[in-house]
Amino acid sequence: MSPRRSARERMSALPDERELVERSRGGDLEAFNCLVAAYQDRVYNLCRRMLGSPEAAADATQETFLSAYRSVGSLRSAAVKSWLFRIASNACIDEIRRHRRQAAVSLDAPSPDADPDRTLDLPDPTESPERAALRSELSEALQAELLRLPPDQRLAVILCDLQGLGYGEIAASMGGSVGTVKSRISRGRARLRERLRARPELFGDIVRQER
Amino acid sequence: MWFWRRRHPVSDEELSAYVDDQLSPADRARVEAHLDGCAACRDSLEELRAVKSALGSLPGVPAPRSFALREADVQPQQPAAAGGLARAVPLLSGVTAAAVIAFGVLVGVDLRSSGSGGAADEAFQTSSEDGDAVPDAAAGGDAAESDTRQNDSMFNAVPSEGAEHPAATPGNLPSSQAQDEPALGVAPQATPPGPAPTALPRAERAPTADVAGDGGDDTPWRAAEAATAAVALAGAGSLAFVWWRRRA
Repeated sequence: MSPRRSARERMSALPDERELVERSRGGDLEAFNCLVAAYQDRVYNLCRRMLGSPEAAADATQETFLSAYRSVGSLRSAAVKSWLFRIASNACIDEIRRHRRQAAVSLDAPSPDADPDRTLDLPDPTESPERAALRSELSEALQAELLRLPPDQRLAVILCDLQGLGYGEIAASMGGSVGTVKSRISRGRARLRERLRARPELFGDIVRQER
Repeated sequence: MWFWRRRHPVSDEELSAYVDDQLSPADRARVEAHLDGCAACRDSLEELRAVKSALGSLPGVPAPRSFALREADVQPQQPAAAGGLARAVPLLSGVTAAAVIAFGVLVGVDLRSSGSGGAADEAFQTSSEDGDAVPDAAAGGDAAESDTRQNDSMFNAVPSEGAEHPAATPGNLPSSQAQDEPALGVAPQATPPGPAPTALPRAERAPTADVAGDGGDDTPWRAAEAATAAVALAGAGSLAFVWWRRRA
């Protein structure tokens, strides 16, 4: 097993999810907590990449699951992932709006502190130290640039490229049409591309790999 | 930039969707045909793929702790507090509206009786239906917003209606107010809606002699006015607070 799993690779279907949802609807907290255990990493990652700070991400994650439990009665289908991501997306957007000033601070001054979790970037023994350092620096730069994107573009890009959702699922999570999703992703990527072009020592390497 | 866009049949957005394999078969064929002959778009495509790939390779951060809900997180008290607040709103609205009306009537009667001595007697001998209808209408509203607006309109309407409504007498009001204020102070708990709606009907049937006979002593009158004003303000303040909490 690779010691470093990207966020996109964490995609496992949960068996008898439908049953867990039914039992949760009946007030079975233990069943609901099984769903929490299955999705909390993904939800936390979404919040972490959206909000930048571990504390804000933890708050938004807690809020997401509380809100989900209270509204599980209105969940009609077994599309738990989209439903949870929708709640999480709203929680993140609400958090950004509520703390606009704090978000602006991180927008103005992206620093290595914006991604203190880089220590969790587990070392790959097959990787040279130089590559590891470069990759770590790229991660920091990407996270900083993500925080500079407008929230709707940031969310669309994160759901697509980090969480691996299709455009339809993203539209369900964010509201709006597939066309809107397409546009937001495109604009978000274009901005990120512009920023990364200014860091050819980081970006150039990845572009070469794509050839 | 516009020139570039005009000359090129494939937009950035289409390239982006192409990277995600989200184009229709027809659009995909068109883009691929174009890419065959356009180096600039191929470069652009590579950069977009690189951005997507870099994002996808960002390390997944494991949740720092378990976010499993505890019983305490989802206790009925929490939803019941919200429910209790919701139940308290009609009660609060009724009490506030009643206090506003009572205040207006007291002031109105007070002004009239200070103008002409016997007017206070006439004010209390009108029909009882009007007095019943108004608090019910006030208690019917669920949204705090509409209730405060209703309160405002009642404020405006009261001076003209003041002479026609049998008011809660000073003797009755302080006692009902004493029952109401604890209810206002602990809004999350459901309180039986007994005191507010029954205060007025009781007041109508009460002998009004003590009001008419107070020509020489203003203190109970002032006290009643102050009390109803306080109840009205407290009620309006509580409703505003509930409305603000719901918005937050």
